[in-house]
Amino acid sequence: MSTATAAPTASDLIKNASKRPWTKGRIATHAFLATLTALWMVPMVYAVMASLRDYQYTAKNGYLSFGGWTFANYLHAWDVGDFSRKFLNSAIITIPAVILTLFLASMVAFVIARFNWTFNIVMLAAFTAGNLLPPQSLLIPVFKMFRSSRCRSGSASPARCSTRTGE
Amino acid sequence: MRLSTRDRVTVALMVLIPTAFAAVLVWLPALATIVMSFFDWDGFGPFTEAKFVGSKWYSDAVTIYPAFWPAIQHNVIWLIVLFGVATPLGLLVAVLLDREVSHTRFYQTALYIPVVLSMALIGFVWQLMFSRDQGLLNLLFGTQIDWYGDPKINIWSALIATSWRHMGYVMLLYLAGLKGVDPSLKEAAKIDGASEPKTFFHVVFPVMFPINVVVLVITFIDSLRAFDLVWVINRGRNGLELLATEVTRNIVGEAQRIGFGSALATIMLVFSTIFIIIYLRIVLKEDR
Repeated sequence: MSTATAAPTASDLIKNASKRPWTKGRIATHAFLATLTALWMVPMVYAVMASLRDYQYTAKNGYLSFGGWTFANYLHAWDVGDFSRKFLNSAIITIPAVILTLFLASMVAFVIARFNWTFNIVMLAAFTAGNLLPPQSLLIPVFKMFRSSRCRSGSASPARCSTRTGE
Repeated sequence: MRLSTRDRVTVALMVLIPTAFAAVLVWLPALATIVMSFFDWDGFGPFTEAKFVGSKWYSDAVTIYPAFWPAIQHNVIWLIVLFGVATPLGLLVAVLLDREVSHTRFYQTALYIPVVLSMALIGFVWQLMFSRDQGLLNLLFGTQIDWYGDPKINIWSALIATSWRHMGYVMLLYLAGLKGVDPSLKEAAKIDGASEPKTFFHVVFPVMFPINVVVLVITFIDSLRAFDLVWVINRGRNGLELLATEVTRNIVGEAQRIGFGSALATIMLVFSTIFIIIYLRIVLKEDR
């Protein structure tokens, strides 16, 4: 074959690697990684399992039992938790947020990367720093800003704007 | 570079619109927070009628407010655990995964899953582990420990949950960093007779300097901003006070204390600014 003299491809390397002898170090590495991975998966697996159990069954037999599998919890949660509405709310926030963020960020990034102006560094610093600020330190003004704009536009009931509403 | 007027206007808009967003939604609120921390304002009347109180809120915070020092202490513990346990573990796993070729995809995916979950969801997932009556830990060990409720241990429970996520995050960053290290450097070290640990600590790790900085900043900032997890556990009370929860409590809680909340927020702002300045200095020096 004409490729015989070519450099080994990535898949060859992987094949050779899996044929590598099982040295003590390699066994120890896999043992460590497997143990850690198993530990890391426990909470997720347990949560998924709990979501698929029948309440009556686990109430009677406890969660360390096996059985009572059902999808009813999902249907129930969807109805009672009003999930259609919540998915819609999440979508209303997430989709424009992602599009707008990508759009605005790519514009600035293009200018900063394309042009070599001295103020680029200032811009880069300002945006990076803004990104790292704790949201709580901006919370009060932003909270007030959105609340007052809502009241001014008249979309909120007057009661919500005048009374002291905490949460 | 010569630009036509039209291009010039376009470029200006491309910079100005996002900058305006950042100014209105980030920098002005940050400044407003600092200003408000020196005033006594009820949040309803016009701000011009608010009374200037100087540093009253700051001295109240450090002398009277009972949750202040516990919050600082918990944030510091948070940082020490993430920095001293979760981050090194993530680095170790990344190094092992980078050396091994078989089954790495599986390990990598399983260890990364927590990172895609929101902190609020992580709090809930671990509630199933930690719950006193039905939690897996107590069921397995036949104990009656209230992992999330006992003020002596709930900070450690929260730290286990947050490390569960942080480890995978650091692992992924370092996997990317290790892939970027020029293999010829390792070969050169090997030819010179350096052992593997020596090669790692003296060649590979220093070469990953930019990634180290990113990981360091993420660890610091995440420890300072820690909020969601303890808020879903018990709203940051009873052993789980953090700076972020105390700020939130004073703003949206039962009693709105805007000046005091702003003072706490400003203290957070100062801490984060220190890290941000260090980070920017390193990053901008690298760029040149």
